[in-house]
Amino acid sequence: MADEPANTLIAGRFAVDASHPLPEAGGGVPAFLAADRQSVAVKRVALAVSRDAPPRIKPLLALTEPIDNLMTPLAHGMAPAPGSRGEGYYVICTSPPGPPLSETLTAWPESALLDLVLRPVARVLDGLQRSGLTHRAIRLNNVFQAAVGQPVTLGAAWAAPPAMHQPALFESPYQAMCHPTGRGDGSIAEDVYSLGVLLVVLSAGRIPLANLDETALIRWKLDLGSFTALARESSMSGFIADLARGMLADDPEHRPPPSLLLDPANARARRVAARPARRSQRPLMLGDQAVYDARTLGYALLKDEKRAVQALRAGTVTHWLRRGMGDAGLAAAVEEVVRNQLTDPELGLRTDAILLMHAISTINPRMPLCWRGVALWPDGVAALVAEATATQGPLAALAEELLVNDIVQDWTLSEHRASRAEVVAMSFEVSSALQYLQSGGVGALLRIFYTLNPLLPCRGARMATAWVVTLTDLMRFLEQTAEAAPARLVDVELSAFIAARADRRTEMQVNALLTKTGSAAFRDRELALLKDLQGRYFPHPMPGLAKWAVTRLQPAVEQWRNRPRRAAMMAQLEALAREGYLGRLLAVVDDPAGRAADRLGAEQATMEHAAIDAELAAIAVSDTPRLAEAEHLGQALAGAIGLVALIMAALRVLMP
Amino acid sequence: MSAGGIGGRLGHATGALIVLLLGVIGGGLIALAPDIAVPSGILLAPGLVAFLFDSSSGRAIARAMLLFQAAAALRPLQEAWFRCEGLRACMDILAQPRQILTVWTMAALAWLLTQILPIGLKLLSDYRIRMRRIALEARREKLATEWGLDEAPG
Repeated sequence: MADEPANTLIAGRFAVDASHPLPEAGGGVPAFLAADRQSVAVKRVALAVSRDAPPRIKPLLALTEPIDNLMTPLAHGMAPAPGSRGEGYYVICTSPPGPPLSETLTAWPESALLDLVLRPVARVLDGLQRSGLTHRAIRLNNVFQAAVGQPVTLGAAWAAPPAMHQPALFESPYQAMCHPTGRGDGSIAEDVYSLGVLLVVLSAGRIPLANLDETALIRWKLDLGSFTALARESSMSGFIADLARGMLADDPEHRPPPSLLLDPANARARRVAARPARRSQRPLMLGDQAVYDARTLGYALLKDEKRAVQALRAGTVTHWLRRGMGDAGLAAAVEEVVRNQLTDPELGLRTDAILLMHAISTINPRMPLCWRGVALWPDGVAALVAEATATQGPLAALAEELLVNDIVQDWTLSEHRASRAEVVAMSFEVSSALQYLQSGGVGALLRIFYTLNPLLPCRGARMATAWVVTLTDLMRFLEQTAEAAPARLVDVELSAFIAARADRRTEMQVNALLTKTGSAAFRDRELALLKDLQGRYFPHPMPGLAKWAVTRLQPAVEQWRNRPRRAAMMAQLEALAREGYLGRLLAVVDDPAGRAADRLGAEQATMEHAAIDAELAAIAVSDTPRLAEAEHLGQALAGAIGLVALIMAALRVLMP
Repeated sequence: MSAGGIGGRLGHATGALIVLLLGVIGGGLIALAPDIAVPSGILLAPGLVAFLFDSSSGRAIARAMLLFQAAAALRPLQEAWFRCEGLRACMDILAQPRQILTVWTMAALAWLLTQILPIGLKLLSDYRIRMRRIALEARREKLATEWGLDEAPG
């Protein structure tokens, strides 16, 4: 590792030792040992980023200095992947002080919980909140302790989408029911919830409700309330119980902020009275699920889409809300949703999905966006699209449908939500990619994927082991692999990548390229695009790519009629290819005046050729006429000689 | 109208004119000086005979023979005109074997020229045409190579 070349160092100082995995340091994310060239004695942890799950850009950019009791990101970048299999992307973090708490789970005394867990973690969360960040990875295997009596350290939460590796136990039910990649950054209240669960678990010294599967656990939490569900199986002091009750409140706004948790006594005293949820004495049966209140009803509607739609259309749900729950207002609201959606002819095949989405939101406004059985928070769309791109299949179709039809916007606006949906950062690039997707463009979902996930690599066919993130990386990669490059270099994957990661001008070039069906037109556009990319993103010699371009240009050269000119052009192109600039190659071929002269020359040559053929044909049949002519001329010549002789003789006679 | 056609007509016209002139000269000579006319007829006999049987355009062969014979017979005729008196004397001067042989040899020479010159001219024409064909084929080959004119279209 000491001999690591400089170009494999991350941020010029961190060297990843991919042969030295640290299985417990990443809290579920693959982690490796990393050395810091500036502090040789200090070991760092390199967390490997998956190709299919984006790292969290906001914290990576915002956090640059180490924070106490937090595995802070220090740098991120590319380094050799484990087993020398190409490149990987790593987030370098401060190292954990010891093993995770999951290693030795014991019951903690109240004072230790307050001093070693609650206060240090609350301080970290308070700092993150001030920076507008969240952690979203507080769980047993991602909280570390150097030794008994030492404060705990929060693990890293930066190399994977927020809460992706969180077990359902540590997430509020409205987060846990989401697709793992669709949970989004959320708010600091979600971290407070996870911290509350951690306090409950450590207080009891065991994991509560461990025998329940994820769905049952969520239903249990919704039915009883999170605190009640967890506290039933856990023993804890009254102080911790009071704290945990507030921290596990179902409404995020009822949970104490981290700054309040720094003073546990105050936090304990903070009581926010929540109105108890209405419960029905008579259950509503949705399939085999018995529903007693609005919270579990929303979840049941999410889990069984077909029965949910049937129940909504048949009026079973509204009847139960009105008669069973006694909530006529809610019943009327749901009825209105059903009526509105049924009478909207523009929705087509989406009618049921939209009906269900709005019905669930109306029944329980805390529910996330529920679409065709998948729940997500809109700020998790980027990671969900990444997952969809990786897995393809139903999730890709679902993500595409969400984006094409502006479902997130529809959901956000119709329920007058606070702007958690702002989150699908509608930058110019994202808007442009969305517009392209909505217009039915080729590879549009991929383009969205690249736009929303700027640190994830290109998924080109030959890039399985390369981590190509920027256009500079791409051009470098193309140069390195030019020898094995296919005839058409810019395929759908690559064009989506270029359009997403380049500027607007290049995006328009890519769009124009994709509309070309003829091979010659495609070739011209493709080479022009690569030339521009080289000029603007990688202004260095690229002899390998230039050599490939010469092969690609050969058909264009062969369009020239004059063979010596062709040969001269090919020689010139090959000479220029060694210099490695595509622009110079294209300038040789792109010569309208020369091309016009070549055409004219070809026409003249054709005419001359035809004239020669005609003359040769005439020569072939000229023998007989020429013989007659020679005979005639010879006889005339003999006569002329005779006449001259006669005149000479006459002159001699007359003038002796 | 072709050049051959015009030449043929001109030859015929010239031949007819010569026949006319010869007829006038012959008739006049027989009438005025029969002693010169008979030996002259003997001297010019090959050409006159050829004139009767020549089938070439404009009787070109006979014409050449007559012109050659006339050139050779002009001086003896001029001498006989002034020196001889009467048919016998003129025959003695003009119809000598040596004299006849000379004039008839000229006729033969003329006939020979009309046979050889066309062959020579034909050979010359062949040579010129061959050179031209070689030049054309070379140029054709160059054009085809340079512009790919032998490639299949498309």
